[in-house]
This record gives sequence, C-alpha cells and structure tokens, in this order.
Amino acid sequence: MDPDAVTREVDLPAGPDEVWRSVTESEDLGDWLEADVELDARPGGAGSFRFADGEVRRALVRDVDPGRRLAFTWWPLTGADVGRATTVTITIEPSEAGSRLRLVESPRARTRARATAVA
Amino acid sequence: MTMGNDRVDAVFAALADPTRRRLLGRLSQQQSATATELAAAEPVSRQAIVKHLRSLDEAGLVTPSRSGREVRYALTPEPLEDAVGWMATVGAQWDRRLARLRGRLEAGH
Repeated sequence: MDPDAVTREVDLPAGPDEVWRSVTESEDLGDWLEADVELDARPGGAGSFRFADGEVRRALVRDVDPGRRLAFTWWPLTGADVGRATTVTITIEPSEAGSRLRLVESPRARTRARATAVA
Repeated sequence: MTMGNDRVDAVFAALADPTRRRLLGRLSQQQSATATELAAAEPVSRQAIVKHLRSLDEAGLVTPSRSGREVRYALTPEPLEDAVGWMATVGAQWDRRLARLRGRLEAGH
C-alpha cells in the first residue's frame, strides 16, 4: 500500500462483467471519464484520452486480468503536468451491491510498473 | 497549482522512508540541525543520515547551508504542499468520475 497514492473504493450497482466493460470499452470508459477515449485494453496496448477541458493524455496498458484488474500508466501531453506519468490500477470484485471497484492512482509510475512486472 | 514533473515524485519517494519522515519531524521542531546532531537520536550511522538528507534535499524538503566547517539543514516544507495538492486534485477528479460511473450503471447503461 503506497502512502502517497490516491485510493478510492466504490460499490456499484452492476455485476463485475458490466463494470469491466465500463472500464475497458473505449466508448463506455469515455462516457464516465467525459473524454474521447481510445484504449487497447491488452498488456502493452496504447491508450489516448482527450478530456473536455482540453487535456490530452497517452497511456500504456501495464496489466490486464480480464474482469478483475486493469492497470495502465498515463501521462499528459498538455498542461502544467505535461509528461508526468502516474499509474492507475482498477480492481473489480463481486459485492453484495453488485461490484466493488477499487481505484489507485500512484505517482510512482516506474516503481509500480516494475512491481507489476514482477508480480 | 504549480508542480514540477519530477519534484512531486521526489517528494513522495522521500516521504516513503520512515527515517526520512522522522528527520523531517525533528527538523520541524528546530531551526536547523547538522547530520551529526540528527544521527545522535537515530539507530543508524551518520553516513546513512547524510544520504537521507541528500534525498530530502533533492526533493526540496530540506535546504543545506554551510556555516564554518559544518553543514546545517533546515526544513523547507513548500514541496509538501505541492504533493498534497496533487493528491487532492486527482482525488476530486476520480470522485466526480466514479459518481458518473455509478449514475450510469444505476440508469442501466
């Protein structure tokens, strides 16, 4: 557990399969991120995000466990934080409500990528 | 909010170590201290303390100043505000996004 990561956990009223589609299908993902998204949700796959406020991000998919875990490193091409890479890890598990989604965004992209590669 | 690209990373890396967090705590209680003074209360060598102080310096969290033969370190906490600001901004973004995801799934999309 990183002391410095942003962590969020939410219960969602849908099964893990549906939530998985929401986080990996470009159009579904773009809908709730409010961005134009192109994401190839496979290990080594590329991603591109264009947000409503004009921010553009590129991504590299690090880790995929279908239906359960998606990890990608992303970095902005625009704005004050340009080039600042962070790693987002989303895990999904069944819960009473439907699914529990846990999201971690860590600023230590390199460390996390290595940890993922080892794991 | 202004954030150097690597600086916030360096701050987080610096804070990940318990010895460095203790050193920051000690420096917050006094104007400045030397590596020797700081090492006196730590179970590690002065050399190890010097290395930790170098990491803290690279993160901008301490500033060394030479007085005579000794180097004194003072806390410069501004980078902490950048790091906390990053967490607050990114956290608020995800709160909004995840609320939209929930709303979308509730609506049955």
